[in-house]
Amino acid sequence: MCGNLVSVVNADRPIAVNAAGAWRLPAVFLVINNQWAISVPRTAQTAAQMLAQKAIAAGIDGLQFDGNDVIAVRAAMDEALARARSGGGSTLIEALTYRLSDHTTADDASRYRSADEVTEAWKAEPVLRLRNYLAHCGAWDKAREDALLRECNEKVQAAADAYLRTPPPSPEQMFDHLYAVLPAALQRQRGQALDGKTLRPVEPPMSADERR
Amino acid sequence: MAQITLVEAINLALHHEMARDATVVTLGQDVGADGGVFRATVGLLDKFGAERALDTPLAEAMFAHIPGIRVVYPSSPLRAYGLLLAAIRDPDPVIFLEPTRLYRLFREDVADGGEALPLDVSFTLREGTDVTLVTWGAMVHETLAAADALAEEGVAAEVIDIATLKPLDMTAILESVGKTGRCVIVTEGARTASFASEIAANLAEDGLLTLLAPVIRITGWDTVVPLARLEKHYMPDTARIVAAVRKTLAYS
Repeated sequence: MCGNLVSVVNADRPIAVNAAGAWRLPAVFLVINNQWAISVPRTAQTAAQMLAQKAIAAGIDGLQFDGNDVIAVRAAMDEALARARSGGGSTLIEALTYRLSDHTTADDASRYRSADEVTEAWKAEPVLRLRNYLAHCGAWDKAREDALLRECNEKVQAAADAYLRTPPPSPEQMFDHLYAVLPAALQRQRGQALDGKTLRPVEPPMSADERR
Repeated sequence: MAQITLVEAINLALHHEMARDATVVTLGQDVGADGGVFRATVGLLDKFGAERALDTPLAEAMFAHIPGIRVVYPSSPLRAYGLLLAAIRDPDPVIFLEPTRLYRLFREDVADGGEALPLDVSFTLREGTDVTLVTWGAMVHETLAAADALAEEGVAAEVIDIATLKPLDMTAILESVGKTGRCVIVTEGARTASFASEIAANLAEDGLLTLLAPVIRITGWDTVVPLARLEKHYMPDTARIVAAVRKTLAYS
């Protein structure tokens, strides 16, 4: 189960983590701690020194690791998955990282954090680090990178094109997958939705005789 | 006087009230340095400081079924300003629902005079004699457009914006239906157990003999709210409202 900083302080997560401990579930709780909940920094969200320590309250294993190191991320996940699969119970693993971009396209992070802090954080950017490491090992070079970039661009473009070619769903699809068999009242609504201009005729009221 | 949007009217009211009353504070996610995710709290931190404009950790939402609270839902910049002032000044807890779809949809003149609008009463936005249209929040816009369309057909619709959902003011609605004999209630929420159902039940209980036709509810469907491309098929639109009015007028 994955979650970001905000999800850790939300009421549902401690409940889930506690249940995983109490019932010895084979779960992995991955927290991606990027230090920010939109404009609110981690230090304002919780007084806990780290998020992984919340595992202690739940009686499960906790591990904090460098979330900007792809190899460390893999190692931490492997450890937690192995524990879960072998009946050893749940783990809460915390990937320490930093949100380099704005929260969304509607956000402007310069309103609430300094440019210096962001510049410093870029030095630990995980993909650059991995590339440097692989190049240093002789396992990567410019030619391979250019080829990968081309391939990725083609895949992304193809996916975007495929989506844009998808016809819009029809209105009756709003009523699919609601019930195994659509109840009468909803069949009526479905009819109304498909024929938006007219309403189903209103039944005249029952006479006293009909009601008896 | 400035022509401002609904979200700007909310900001104006917050500034006004925090300046007027030192006991008023604003708490929430991203309300401080960020000025609010939708910009509703811009400038509060700068003007009133971190002691009164506080960023808080994420918290659970309250539910409208809790007794002893008010639920208020503005439909325009003018009513957002006046009702928010009233909500802040009210000694009882108030859930003030802001329709983000209306945040920047249109502008109105709003005087920053600190005058609150009354809570617990509805607002008759348009007078008419043929049918009563009852609505609130984001649907007021569509309902007024439907009233315009109906006027072209010679149908005079009265439009009531209830504004305070809880406690609900049925007086104006009952008076209106007493005059018109017909009622269509419009809400974007789902149909079953909608707030429109509450109003319809009250009309049946206290206004039955004034009704010339069954009360019609125009609502969202009892489905999961669909994604963007189907949203217009889910929400009530002018055509559905107009069709309902024609139906109620034809009933005999």
